This record gives sequence, C-alpha cells and structure tokens, in this order.
Amino acid sequence: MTSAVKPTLVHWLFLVSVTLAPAPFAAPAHAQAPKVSITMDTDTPRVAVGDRFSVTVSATVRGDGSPQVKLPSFSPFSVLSTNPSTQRRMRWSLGGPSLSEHVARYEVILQANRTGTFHIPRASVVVKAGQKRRVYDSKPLTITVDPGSGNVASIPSQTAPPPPPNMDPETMSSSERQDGFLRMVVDPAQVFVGQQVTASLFLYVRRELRQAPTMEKEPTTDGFWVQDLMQGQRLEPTVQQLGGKRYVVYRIRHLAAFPTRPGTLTIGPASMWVQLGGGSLFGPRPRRFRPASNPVMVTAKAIPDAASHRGNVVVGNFELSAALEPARVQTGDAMTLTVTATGQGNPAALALPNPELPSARVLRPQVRDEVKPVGDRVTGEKRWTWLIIPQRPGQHRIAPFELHTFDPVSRTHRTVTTEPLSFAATGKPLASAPPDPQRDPQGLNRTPRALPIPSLRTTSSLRTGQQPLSSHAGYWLIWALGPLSVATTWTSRRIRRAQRVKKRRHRTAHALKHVMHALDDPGQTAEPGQLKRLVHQGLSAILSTHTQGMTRDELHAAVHNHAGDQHPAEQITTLLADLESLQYGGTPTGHMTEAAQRTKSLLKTLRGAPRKQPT
Amino acid sequence: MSAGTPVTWPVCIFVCIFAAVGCAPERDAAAFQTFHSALQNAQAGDVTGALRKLHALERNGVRDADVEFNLAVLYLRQGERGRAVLHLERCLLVDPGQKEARRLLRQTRTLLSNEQAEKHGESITEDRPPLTVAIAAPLTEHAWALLFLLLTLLASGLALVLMLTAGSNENLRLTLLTALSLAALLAMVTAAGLAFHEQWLREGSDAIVVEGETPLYTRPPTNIERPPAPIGMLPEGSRARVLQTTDDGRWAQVKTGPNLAWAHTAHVRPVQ
Repeated sequence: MTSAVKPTLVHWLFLVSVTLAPAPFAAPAHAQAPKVSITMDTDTPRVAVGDRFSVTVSATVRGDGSPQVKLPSFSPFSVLSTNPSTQRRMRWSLGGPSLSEHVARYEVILQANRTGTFHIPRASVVVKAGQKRRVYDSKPLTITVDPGSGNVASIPSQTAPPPPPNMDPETMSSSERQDGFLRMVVDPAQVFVGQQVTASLFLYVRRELRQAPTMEKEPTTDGFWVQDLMQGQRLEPTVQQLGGKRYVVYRIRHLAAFPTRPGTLTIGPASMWVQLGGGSLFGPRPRRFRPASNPVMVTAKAIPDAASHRGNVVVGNFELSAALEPARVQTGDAMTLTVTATGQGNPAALALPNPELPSARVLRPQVRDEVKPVGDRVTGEKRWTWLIIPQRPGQHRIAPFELHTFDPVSRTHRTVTTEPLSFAATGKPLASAPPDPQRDPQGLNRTPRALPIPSLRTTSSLRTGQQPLSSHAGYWLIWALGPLSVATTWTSRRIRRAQRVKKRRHRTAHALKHVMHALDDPGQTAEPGQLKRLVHQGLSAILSTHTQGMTRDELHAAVHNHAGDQHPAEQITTLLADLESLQYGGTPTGHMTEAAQRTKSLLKTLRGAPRKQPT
Repeated sequence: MSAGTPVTWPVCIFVCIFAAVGCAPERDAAAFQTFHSALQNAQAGDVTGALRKLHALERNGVRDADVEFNLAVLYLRQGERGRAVLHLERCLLVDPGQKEARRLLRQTRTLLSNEQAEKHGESITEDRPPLTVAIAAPLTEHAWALLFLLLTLLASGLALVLMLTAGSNENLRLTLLTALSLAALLAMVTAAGLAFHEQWLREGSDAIVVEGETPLYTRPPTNIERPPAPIGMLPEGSRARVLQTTDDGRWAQVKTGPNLAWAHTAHVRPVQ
C-alpha cells in the first residue's frame, strides 16, 4: 500500500531553490561586446610660437579586448616627449561575469614652431575582441599658434616617465627584468646656460614597495645649480607596461637643474637599495637589490649676445621693484633701500651692483633668495636690502637698477628697470664724509686710509730658529734634578728615622728584659731600694729618658704623656710612694714580692702590647 | 746629604744651561748677503724680489724678529694686510719686546676692522688680547722655560733646606715655608706660560687668515674649480685655530668659535 504525500510549502521552496541555484553557473559564458571610448585633449588650444603644450590621448576599453592606440601625426609641431601608460583593472562579481577595463594613455609634449591654425588628425584605437577587429577614432584637435610672446608656458607635471629607450626588455639583465631598474630623465637635454633642466629619477619595480628605498648615491650635479621640486612629497606609484610586463614606477628625485657654465654637463648615476617583498606572511620572502641609474648628458650653450650686456644676463622672466624708506633723513641716520626681483627662473643667478652714492655710505647689502617651485618650474624672489647713511645734506638721487633677461624659447633679450629714487638728507655734513667731488676733484683733502708704514730694518742678527728649550731631553733631566733630590732626601731621612726607632726599640726591649729577669729574682727584690732602682731602670728604658732624678710630678707627667692615660701614671707614683714607705718603715717579705709583681705588671702595661723578644 | 748641595746644584745647572742653550746661533755669511740683497731689492722698488729673498731666509731656518718685521713691512707696501699680520705675529713670537711691531700690528688690525665694518656694517675689533695671551706673550718660550726650570730648582732647594733644618728655630722654618710656597706658586704660573707657548693643553695650532674673505666649507671640496656654496667667510687678518689638515695638505680644518669648518691652507697660515 502506498500513501500519497502532499507537498508542503517547504518542499516547494526547496525544489525551486535547487532548480534555480545552478542557473547562473550553468549559463553559457558568452563574450561581451567591449565598450570603447577614445579622447584626445589638449591643455591649451591657443599657444604662442615657442610655447610647449601637451596633448593627451586616452583610450578606455571595458570588456574583452586589448586596445592598440595609434597616435596621429603631430606635424608641424615638434614632439618633445611621449609618455605612455597603460592600466588594466579587473572586477569580479559572485555569480556574474568578470569585468575588465583597459586604459591606455599617451601624454605628448609638443612645441609650437610657427604661427597659424593647425589640425591634429584623429587618434585611433584598434580593439581585438575574439576574431573581430574594430577601429575607433577620436575627434581631431585644432591648435592656434600666435606670434611669440616670450612667455614660457608651463609644462604639465610628469606623472610617469616615458619608457626607457635604452632599456629594451630584450637587452635587460635578468636582475632588471626580475626586480626593476632606475632611470634618470631630463627635459630638455639642450639648454642655454641658466635655463632650467628638469631632471627626474624614476624607479621601476615589478611589485609595489613595502618599504621606502634607501638612497645609496645621489646623482652628481657638477656644473648645475639645483633646486628640489619634490619638497617632501610622498612616493606615488604609477603603473606602466613595458615589454609586456607590468612595472610600478616611483619618482624618487625631481630636480630643477640650472647649468652654470657652457659645455656638456653630466648628471651622474645614482644608486639605491630597494627591498621587495615582505610585509605579508604568505608573500614572497623579502629581497634587496641595488639598481643604478644611467648618467645623462646635458648640453649647455652660452647665451647669445650676452657680451653686449657685460655678461650679466639671466635666463627667465623677472620683474624688478625698488623702495626706499624713509624718504627724508638726518645725515648719519640710516635708511633702507630694498630692491626685489620676482619671476620665473633661477633667483640665485640674479645679481645687482651696489648703488653708487658719492655723498653717502652704502653698506654691504643683505641678500635673500626665496625659491618657490610651481609644478615643474622654478619661480622665486630675490631681495637686496642696503643700509644707506647720508654723509652730506641735500637731495640725493639713486640711479635705476637694471636687469637683463633672456627668453630661451623666443631667444630674445629683455631689460627690466626700476624707477629712479631720490631722498633728502638734512643736517650738517659728517666729519667722516667723503669730500665733495665737485669741490675737491683731485681728492687732495681725502683722508689717507693707508697705514704709516715704517721703514725696513737694515740690520739683523739673523738668528736661526732654535728648537724650543722644553723640547730638549736635557732640559727635563735638569728640571727633574730638583724634585728628585727632594724626594731622595725625604726618603733617606724617613729610612734613617725608621732605623733609629728600630734601634731604640731594640734597646728598650733588652733593658726591659733585664729588669724583668731581675724582678723575678727574689734576691734582687728583697730590698725596697733595689726594687725602686729596677722600677726606674724599666721606666727609663720605656720612656727613653732617665727618670732617676725626676720629681714625682715630673715622673707623673712623663708617664702620662707616654701612656696617654692618667691611670698608669698614678699607679707608678703610688708604687714608688709605697716602696719609700716600705724602705723607711720595715720590710715584710710578702710585701716585697707583691711590690715586685705590681712593678712587673705596670712595666708590661707601659710597654704596650707584648713584643717579640729579640733573640 | 750635605748641607751645601742645594747651593751648589743651581750654580752647576746655570752653567750647564747657558753652555748648552744660551750660546748664540751660528751666523751664515750667505744669509747676511741674502738679507742685504733683499734690502737692495726693496729700495729699488722690487718688493716681490725682496719678499722672495726674505722667504728664502725663512726656509733656510732663519727665525729672526727683524726678518719677520721686514716681511710684514713689505706685505703692507703691497697691500696684503693679512700676510703682514701673520709676520708681525711671528715677529712678536720670536721677540715679544718688539714695541714697533706690536704698534704696527695693532694699527693693521684696526684698519682691517674698519674695512670690515664698512663692508658688512659691523666688525669685531680685537683691542684687547685674551687673558692667557696677555700673560704669556710678553716673554718668549725660552724665557718661560728657563723661569720654570729655575723656579722649580729654587723650590726644590728650599724644600731641601727646610728638611735639613727641621729641628732648628721656628722663625727660620716659617720663612723657608713661605718662600717655598711662593716659589712653587710661581713655578706653576711659569709652567702655565710655557704650556701656552708650547700649546700643550690646546688642540691644534694658531693661524692667521692671510686672504680677504676666506670661504669656509662644511667639508673639503673635491673640486676647487667648482666648490660648493661656502657656509661662511673668515675676515682677513683674523685668528683661527687649525685642528688638522687633509692628507694632500690643501685643506685645513679650522675652529672659529664653537664651529668647525674647512678652509684652503693657502688662505690660513700657521703662526709657528
């Protein structure tokens, strides 16, 4: 018997989900038609002769297919540089098709050479998707070139370098193919002395850096005045395809270099330590390598017709201004003259002569440079500040300052000047004032600034140079005689003194030994007078002086001095008093024995610590 | 030791010192000829020739105050005041009693300071020498060495007499002790003077800046044709202290105040 089971709502939902779930995976993967766009733009459609400008061609392909950009002919413009870069982005979605996007971008730096309106033809991109091959075109560009204005157009900042022409992937070493390389790029390579050369050092690596690279050797820039254009910027990576391989490119150095002399100058090779890998537990092991860049030649030409301006010509575009404060002063008071040059170019190359004021003292100027990088260009300001001290009253005039500049693009000279300045000085002429040239044209009243030079000496003993006295060994030998004799005398006296003390101690010990023996002999201590004599013998030996003729007080003092204590002195005087009373009041034998023992004990105490008996 | 020892020793030492050191140096007839030839050059207006001959004397070992003075005078005639200061300093080092040289040195320094003040708005005038220089400069190194020797021997003799008369009267002992302390103190002062002259306790050697506006660098420039930007300037005639020189002898590390910098040795010349 079978029982029919009715499907519940849960069963229906399960069946629907099982049926529909594989559908996205089972759907046939069909090629998506790529969406292609190509644009060609310029930063400025109107330029002047000699100006440089950029044209950017950008092709984007969304979907399958790789773009192949065909650049148009840029004639009659001069192509200064071409900077290609490609990017590929992939996106995955769960259950959906992957989406890829190719971006190819070319930045072309052009220079206008003649006036007119010029058309740049369309740029095109060829996209191959499967077997199909389609071509897409951009819009053409129209550029109008006006007569030269002398201004140098700003060049957009290079975000990625051109592919290295001398770094063909086929000729690269395995290390360069595997790890990366350094490349120095200069723009332009032919300049006038004082014209800016923009030098960039690029690091090409196969993977993004996890650690900042360490510069081992900076590029040498002999013959250049150099200004850093990076100003502490962070390393920003860009991606570039080179020989079918993806490189991450970092700009390591970005310099504005101004040649200071004509000739072929070299920006020397640089090298650095780069660490790749690391930073991830499962990534490749960290590895260091040391790429080195190529030396780059720059040809610097002398500024034409510089001789007509006495050589004081600077490349760039500067403006001059001058100010004088205050306009009216007392003689002897200082006033400030400030001249400021502002513009594009190397401010350090600017030079101005000191103002010539015959009736005033002009102190040496304080000069300050301030360099401001704007994009790839160096602009700045230079300020001269003179202190002027009028020496004579009257109206004084300061001649205008002149600055000769040269535009390397249009090859034209320009002279900028300040307005003439004047000031009034009041008061009396100073004593140190220079003579008025109108009143004293020959300078007869001029204060001589030379020294009263004495006459030469006609006689001389012509002593020859002697070695310093203190450099002779004999000097120090003689010098040492004094301290040595003092030391020797002191030591010998100490030794003799020690010997004397030793002898005295020996004698004392001998005498005491004799006294002690006598004290042990009852025959020699039977009489108080005999014992008194022994006491004095012992004391004389210990005190190193005869005590026989001393009064009681003198003996007390001598024993006290020797022992440093009053008690032994009192015991001695008591002992002697007892012996005297025994001597004159009868002499029991037991008392004499006790007196001998007391004497022995006292002498031992006075002698101090028991000494080794001499043999 | 006999009591006569402290008396006889200094006498013997005096004799030895004057016999060994005090004899006049040997004079060379060719040197006198060169000296007079230099004077003739100078009278004829050939200052360069005179300088060359006097420098030749210096190279041959002549270290004479008159030669140094004449060199200074000739450099002043040429307007090279820094070099004049150098030779006047050398003249005073050989013979500190040269009043004319001292006055000329002061005048030259004042003139250089005035020029500096006019150029830069301010300058430092060395109107009073440092205390050590003021104490040590009036005597030559030989005089300081002899004084140091004699005072040391005197102090030693007094110490000996004091030891030998230890048991005698108290007044004599007190007098001897006072004399000994004074002699020891003076010996220490002369030792300091000698140390200053010999530059024992100081690093480097004294030098004079002989060129105007001598540039200073943080390190010796590798290429003199294109030197880096200087970090400062030394005024002409100023004192400097040379601590060391490069192996090739072209650059000297000089100490100016608390700072160390490198200058070309042609611009900074040692006094000694």
